[in-house]
Amino acid sequence: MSAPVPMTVVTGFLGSGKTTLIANLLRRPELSRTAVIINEFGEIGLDHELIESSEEDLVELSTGCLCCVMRGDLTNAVHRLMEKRGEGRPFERIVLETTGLADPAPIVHAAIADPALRALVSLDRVAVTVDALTGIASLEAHEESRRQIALADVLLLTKTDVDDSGVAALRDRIAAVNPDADILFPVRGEIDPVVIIGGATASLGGRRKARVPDENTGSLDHDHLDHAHGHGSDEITSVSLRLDKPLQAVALTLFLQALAETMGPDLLRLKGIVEVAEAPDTPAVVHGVQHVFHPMRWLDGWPGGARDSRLVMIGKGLSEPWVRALLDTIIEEVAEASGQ
Amino acid sequence: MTPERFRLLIEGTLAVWRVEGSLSFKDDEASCHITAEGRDMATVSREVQPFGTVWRIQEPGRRDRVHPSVGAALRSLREILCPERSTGRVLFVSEGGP
Repeated sequence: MSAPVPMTVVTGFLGSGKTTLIANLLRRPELSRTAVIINEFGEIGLDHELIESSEEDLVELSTGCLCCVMRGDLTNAVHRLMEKRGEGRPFERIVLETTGLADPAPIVHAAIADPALRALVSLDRVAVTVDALTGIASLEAHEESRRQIALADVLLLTKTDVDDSGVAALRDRIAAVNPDADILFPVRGEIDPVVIIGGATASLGGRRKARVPDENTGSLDHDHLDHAHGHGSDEITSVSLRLDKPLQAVALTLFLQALAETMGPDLLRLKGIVEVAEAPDTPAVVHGVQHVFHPMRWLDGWPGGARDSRLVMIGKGLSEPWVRALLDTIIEEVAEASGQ
Repeated sequence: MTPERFRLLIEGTLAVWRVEGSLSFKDDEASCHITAEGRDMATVSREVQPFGTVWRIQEPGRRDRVHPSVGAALRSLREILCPERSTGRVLFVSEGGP
């Protein structure tokens, strides 16, 4: 069986420029061997007409919102592409454009947890377009928009060439939901293809360089460097937790389990780089979407040489004091159980 | 486990679950009585026993439940306060194939 094909998920709220972005990216020679899956909501598809691509390398899904009818449709679409690949139309990459109303979490879930899909594709990254003109309003009004931003590895603020007066406020609002994602500014869809084909940014596929969650640490001078952003328990919030001592592996595992179990579907994402007591010189990279985690990857050394152990969590109702209390309690219980 | 951390843990957990109730903490102990929907729901406490530290969940009309870990205690508490709430169970999946 051939190696899984890397797949990038491009999502973003209605009208935020997903199709424009993809159309421009596909004109770049670096992405000439790219197949596209477009999920259009409604019976009459339009987006696929706007993307210049060989029909053989483009699959349109118009049965409904992909996140609702997910796995079967997506797996079938990928299978159809793979069959064409076997018929002499090789491609090296898949770009999946979701509807503007899609919650990307089930898609990411399927890509990393569904055995049939994982055999075919490896999730590269989640790129999310955000309209600089309407982004804040969408964030305030639509849960889908917040969930899209929460799941992003890279955020693309569009239409800043039209009016950039609200960009600072939008960035602040985005940082409250996902402080860890890269933010880029395409102009009319023009952007370096590295956002699609990988390079500097890590995401859930695990093949990229590990990226330390290094934003949202403005208060480097206080003890714990813990931060939470959000506006009430119904809001999506992010918590960055710096760990000042190595964690025993069992404590880390129990913490992930307790967090996933207690939060259920409200835990959207967790990522981090952790100093594990049993192997302090080879940091563990943790990535999870909701309760689905990749096995920990071990780096050869600490990025930049700094032993900087931390976790970033995004979810509903998260608060830093609670997360810290839960982790500290588990650390204490593990220490007691192991006679320390 | 300080009473302060115990308070943060219980308050934060109920906030995550969106359980609106009244919490009554003992000043110098890791213990909390929870009332919600106008009735006594449970008392949660962490106590030292000869065999180690345990979590005790007391629900009116039922035998006490004693748990060795915070994870198990929160699971037990959730079954009392919001049994309909979805939970997650960590699933580790390997990359690049089944």
